[in-house]
Amino acid sequence: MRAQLFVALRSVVPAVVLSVGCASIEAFSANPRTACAGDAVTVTWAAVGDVTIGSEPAVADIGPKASAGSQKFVVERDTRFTLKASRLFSCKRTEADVVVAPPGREYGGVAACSTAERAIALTVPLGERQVSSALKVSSVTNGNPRPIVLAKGSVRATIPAGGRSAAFDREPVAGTWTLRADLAAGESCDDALRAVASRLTFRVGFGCGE
Amino acid sequence: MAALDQIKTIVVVIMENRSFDHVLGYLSLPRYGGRTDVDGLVNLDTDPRFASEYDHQIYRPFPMADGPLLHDLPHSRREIAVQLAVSGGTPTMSGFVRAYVEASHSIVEQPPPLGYLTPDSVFMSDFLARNYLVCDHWFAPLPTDTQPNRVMAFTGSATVDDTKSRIIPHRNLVFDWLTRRGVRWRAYHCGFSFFPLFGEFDHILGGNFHSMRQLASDIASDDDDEVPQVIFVEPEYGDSPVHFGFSPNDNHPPDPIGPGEHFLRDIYTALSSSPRWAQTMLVVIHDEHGGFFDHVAPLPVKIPVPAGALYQEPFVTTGVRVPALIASPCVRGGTCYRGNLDHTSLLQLFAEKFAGDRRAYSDDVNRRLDQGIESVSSVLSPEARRDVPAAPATAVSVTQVLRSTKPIINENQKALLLAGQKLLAHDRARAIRQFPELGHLQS
Repeated sequence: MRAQLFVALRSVVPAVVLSVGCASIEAFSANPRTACAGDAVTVTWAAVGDVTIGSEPAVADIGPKASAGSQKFVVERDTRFTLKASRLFSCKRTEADVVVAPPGREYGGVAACSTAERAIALTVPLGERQVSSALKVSSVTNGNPRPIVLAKGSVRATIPAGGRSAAFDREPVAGTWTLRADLAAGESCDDALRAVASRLTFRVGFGCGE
Repeated sequence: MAALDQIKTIVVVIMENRSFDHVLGYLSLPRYGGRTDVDGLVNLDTDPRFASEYDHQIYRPFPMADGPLLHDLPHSRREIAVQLAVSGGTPTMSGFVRAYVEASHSIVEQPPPLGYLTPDSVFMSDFLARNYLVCDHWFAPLPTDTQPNRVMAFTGSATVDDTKSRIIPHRNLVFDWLTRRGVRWRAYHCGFSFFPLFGEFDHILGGNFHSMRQLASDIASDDDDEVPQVIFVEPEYGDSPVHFGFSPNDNHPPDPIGPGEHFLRDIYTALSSSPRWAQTMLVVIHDEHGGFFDHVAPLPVKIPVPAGALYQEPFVTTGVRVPALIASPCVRGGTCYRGNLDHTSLLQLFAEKFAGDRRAYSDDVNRRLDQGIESVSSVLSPEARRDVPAAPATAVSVTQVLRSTKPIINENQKALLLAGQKLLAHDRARAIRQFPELGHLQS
């Protein structure tokens, strides 16, 4: 009798496992990733399974949610949002950080070189995914091993290697920044890119409010 | 070569899934001695080579305490292509955070792929690096995951380009090569072994495979004409479908590295306390970088797709650098070797040592040799040292999450499960005698 029950269960269990499936996470984000105290950040998720949104420290209205959605949460300090998706046989978890008013951040990426323009250049659009609209520039630093021309809107500044500029102070951090580093006389694109490891970056000091 | 003549036993340990910068990069940091002979981490706040980009934000390496990670890190062929972030034909090594976010949907201030360990966490690797030899340009042979890189280590030929549940097609398996030349070899395993994935079950059950628990006693009791000339020591794989008596110590994330460091200490202690240590070379490498950041671009090594391979797109570079340490009285203490090595450097070494010609392993290995991959013999010093540094007695406390091996979720787990089931079907009694944990597998 027990053996028959075991055989019967054995034939049923795979079907049960198949029907309940595994939890999975398709998307999770908390934006902007850099915020000011009191900002509302948007948490967006999509998962398979029972979803719980959590945070550390706790913010209002976290808890069980629909399997996909989007919701605003107000943050006062650095906050780690978590998404837990669970089903009978598995549980997945992922995290997204929001940092409130850090001293600064480095932005940039892999740059392209133009032989015709004899320059390495990069465009860095900073939007609502990256920064709060309330964030203001308190300083800009060029960490590249060569001078760059940095521009945003109508403001443009040439910043020496390792140097700082106050030209962008009190400007919103959000917006499109462009970086350009001219090739030296006789320098090839390959050599110039090698010198900067194919990257151009800049560091922005932040302030919130005034 | 005199130094190579002096070596009577070559011991190979292949751990899992850590990059050079992640494990040994700290050696170059001023805080940890600032070794200028090691191509590790320097000027982390400003050097552009250490900048990883995701969504226009820059992330840089940070010190990481050892412990379980939330996720395994991405390291498939496709995901490694994202990590290398080739621009204008040059790998920029700037896509490690991007690959992690795409795979995990986790975007945090300190993305785990950029974490680097420090001597507190890697006390045994640190000991070996300071007392013996670091190879800082040892690359995984292929920019892909576990199975292809281990196949390269044990055959020299890339018959697969991904990790799947299957018995791996192969040629020139190292055990066949060694056996044909009358070379005594042995494999020590903690729990279940990787080698059944090659399907040559009579090799596996033929007496050359011993439990790791026998390593020290075998070394002490083997007669001179019994001592293996080549020894492979396998950790307990986190992906093993069944753990019985061992906890994972293979360094594969999300498990911590601490148990693997203890495993290395056990091996070193067993070997170095033997009178035969004077004729021994211990090689410790990792199969691939496992998704952790490294700043050195892979080497341009092109290999055609071999006949019978299960993929079409040829590899044109090595994989990412991995931590590699060599301990032996025949290497200079506290030094670093900069020559280009990969796992097939071991096969060159065997050919050189046991056939008198480093080109004697296979055409596949020679193709890499012709593109600059050296033999491990390059690291040997003509002057043997007589001192035997004692392994640190460091006690390490690390959290390890002991998960159930069910459900089987990844391809390597499925592959090892398949190999275990086939081994049982081949000869159940001998298989269980060799690997008692297989008795707990559903057949």
